[in-house]
Amino acid sequence: MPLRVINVIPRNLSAEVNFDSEPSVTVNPANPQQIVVTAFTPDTATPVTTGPYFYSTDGGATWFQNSVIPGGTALLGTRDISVRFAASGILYAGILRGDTGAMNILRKANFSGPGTMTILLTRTPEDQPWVEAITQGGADRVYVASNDISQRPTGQTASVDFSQNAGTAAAPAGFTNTARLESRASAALPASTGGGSQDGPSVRVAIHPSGVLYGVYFGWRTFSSPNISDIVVVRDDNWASGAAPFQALSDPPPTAHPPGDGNVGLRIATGVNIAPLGTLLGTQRVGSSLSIAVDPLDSQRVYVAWCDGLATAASPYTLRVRRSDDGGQTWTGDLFTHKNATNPGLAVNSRGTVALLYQELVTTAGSPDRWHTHLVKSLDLFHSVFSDDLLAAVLDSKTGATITVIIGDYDNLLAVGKDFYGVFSAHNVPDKANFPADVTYLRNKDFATKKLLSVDNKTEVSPSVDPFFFHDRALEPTNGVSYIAVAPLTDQRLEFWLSDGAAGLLSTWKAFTDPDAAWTPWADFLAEVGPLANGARQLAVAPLSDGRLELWVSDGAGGLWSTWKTTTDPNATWTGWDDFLGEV
Amino acid sequence: MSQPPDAAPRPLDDSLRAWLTEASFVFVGCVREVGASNLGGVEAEPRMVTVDVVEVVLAPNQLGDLRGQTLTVATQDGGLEPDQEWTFFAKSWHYGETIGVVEIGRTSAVVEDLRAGVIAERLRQLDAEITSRIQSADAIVSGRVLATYPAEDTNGLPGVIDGVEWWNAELWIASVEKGAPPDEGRIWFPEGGDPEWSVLPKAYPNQTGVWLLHVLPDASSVPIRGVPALEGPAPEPAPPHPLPHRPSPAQEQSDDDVDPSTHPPRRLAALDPLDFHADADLARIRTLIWTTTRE
Repeated sequence: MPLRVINVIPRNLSAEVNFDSEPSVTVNPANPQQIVVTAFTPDTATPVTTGPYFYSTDGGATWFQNSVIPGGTALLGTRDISVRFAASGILYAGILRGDTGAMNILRKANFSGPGTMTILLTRTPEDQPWVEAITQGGADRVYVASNDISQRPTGQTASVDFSQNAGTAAAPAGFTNTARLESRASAALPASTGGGSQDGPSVRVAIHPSGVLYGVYFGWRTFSSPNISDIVVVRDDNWASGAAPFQALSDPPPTAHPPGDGNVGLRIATGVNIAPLGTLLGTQRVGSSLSIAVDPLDSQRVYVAWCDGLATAASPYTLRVRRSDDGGQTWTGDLFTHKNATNPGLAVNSRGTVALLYQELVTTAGSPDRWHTHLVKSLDLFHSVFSDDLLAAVLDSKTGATITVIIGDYDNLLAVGKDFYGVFSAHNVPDKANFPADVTYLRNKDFATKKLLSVDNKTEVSPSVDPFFFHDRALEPTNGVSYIAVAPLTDQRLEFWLSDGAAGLLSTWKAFTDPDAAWTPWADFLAEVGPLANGARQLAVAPLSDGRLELWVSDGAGGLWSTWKTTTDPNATWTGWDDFLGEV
Repeated sequence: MSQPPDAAPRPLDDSLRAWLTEASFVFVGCVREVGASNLGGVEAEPRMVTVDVVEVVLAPNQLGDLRGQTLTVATQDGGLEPDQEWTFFAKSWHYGETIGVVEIGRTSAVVEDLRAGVIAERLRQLDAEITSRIQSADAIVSGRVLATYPAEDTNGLPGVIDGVEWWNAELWIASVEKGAPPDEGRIWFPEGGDPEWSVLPKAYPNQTGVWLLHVLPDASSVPIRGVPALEGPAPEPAPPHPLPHRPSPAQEQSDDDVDPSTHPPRRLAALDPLDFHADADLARIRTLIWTTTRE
């Protein structure tokens, strides 16, 4: 299956009832079998001084928990946490400690081994550290975006701490630099709260392998109900190694059309109304939802997603996606919008396919609300949606929750090569109907009775929220290409087939009628039409007199099979395999 | 099965106590293989051993019965031989199909000699945590929640920027165990906000129990983000409490009327998961209060 969804709670923790929300995921770019997932998960032991992360060494098929994050308590493994592998295999994390709430930037060379992660930097008070890392020229460049609220006196809270070589040196391992992203006056806070001013909690960075870096933050302008915010993008063209990092992009001057303010940081949108942080969408609080991704094929192509609105009927909390093709100088309008949605996660793979992960609150009269988690992909720069996979459709429930961040303030999506990897948190009743793309549980469960079971595989366990990892794997020919065939669909788009060295049959087609349109990712034609007992070998295809395509396939046992489009619609389904020798 | 060498050091009581401040696993195990791991995704190191669990003194309940299971122990210093039997003190590390722990220490002492002491020491440690909260509390009361409602007076309370909504609970106070009871029987509690706020005690109508109450400092005088830490200088002594409006047994014993205008209202809250206890724990809390006042 190209798309696989897995509940990462290991079997030995089957009795857990935590609300493991607000997840992040990282995949080792040099070895995608190595994956780490985090969430608000405490260690099950008492006493405990560490928090755990989940990890896999087999591409996400099986999962373990490693309790090595400093500052864990019995109730909070960490507060906010994000993780990234560099290609060196070193794991980095940005956390708010479970015990003190201080921000730690952490490092661990052997992610599966024992031993607490090394603390490279400590600072407090802080909010929502978000780490990105890349190995380049033998050095791990690590960027940790956060809302450094110790800077409230200046108001420059949107920040990025970075190290150009964080891999091996002793603490602070190069984390001696902090870029302050905000160049404008941020939102003044009431004197009764201590005063000062600040930006919104979410700050994100994206790394292009050429050294171009992007950052995005909520430039809060008014703190109230609603908060009034700009969406601000910054850029650096050389790894943030210069004297003025993240200052390569400025708003247009006041004389431009349309005019800007000329300050550092381009405002994609100005004066948007965003619900205050305590606002609920279902049971999940909203108010700071943000993501950014850069196209690995083009350092100047960057996507941003955010949510605005008041989470009311008159002003729904609305997800928006926009794109720039010129390094952030100019931006499209909304390419994609969705109401009552939160937790956007953007990623672009090595083909330039852009994917969006988001969670939508679906309200149906007479039924409990449900969270629908979608993975949307676009082959044409988000002008259109190519696929929309519903990963989960689960109950919105906080029953049994000790925390109020029920699914979390974020989820996470990333791309490694052609593949997408992601994680989201969702209610964990083991009901296959809740997971249209299918699901695997490692923890004990009974899908027939839809019950979770404890380690004894008998005692029933109350439902809660778990992290669900997914891998959207790009199909590739196995053992090379054997035979090919190609023909035009009724709208003149080409469809192309190949049989591979493992007797599989894959197809691709032009996504649009534009002759320069992208080809779709490989699809498993045998999964679509049906299996052939002896596999696929030679191929032939041609249009019938009405334009419908017919495809012939010889198998490994001397058989010959055919299938044809059921209607003249170019997107029509194919018939099942017909025994052509039997017919003729 | 061979026994550990006679020269193996027996830890002193102080060592055991020190180990127990960290240990979440105490078990008797027989060494199966040295330099081995049965953990998925973990390569064996020389200091790792696999151990068959013979007897469990202490372990997380969620893991079920560990007897008969094979654990991987990352030892401090190696030096173990197959078939040796030890009582391991260990902390949490790895969970999956199998379990890995990190050794804190080990002893050859007879487990039956240890069991009672380990449990007593663990309970003493837990009491010490509550005692710490008792010592820092400005008021300790028992009673029942009459009503809860959104607080009108939230000016300057911490966490508001992060989305915390402050609520009041109106208490019928059955007893005052320490300090002055909350003004008008009213305490504060947070709803929403970041996870650190979520784990704090909430209040529900008709809820009964014992509250260890702390004065809520102004947002301007506490860490900007997160739950107010009760560190640094000791808070000012609580002022004499005014006569609450709603009579209750404790209030009948309270001081005479005090002009509220001369005493800014104290906003009291339970600021730690250990700041609320069930009615049944009242005797224990009283005992701990008694011990703290006589130390």
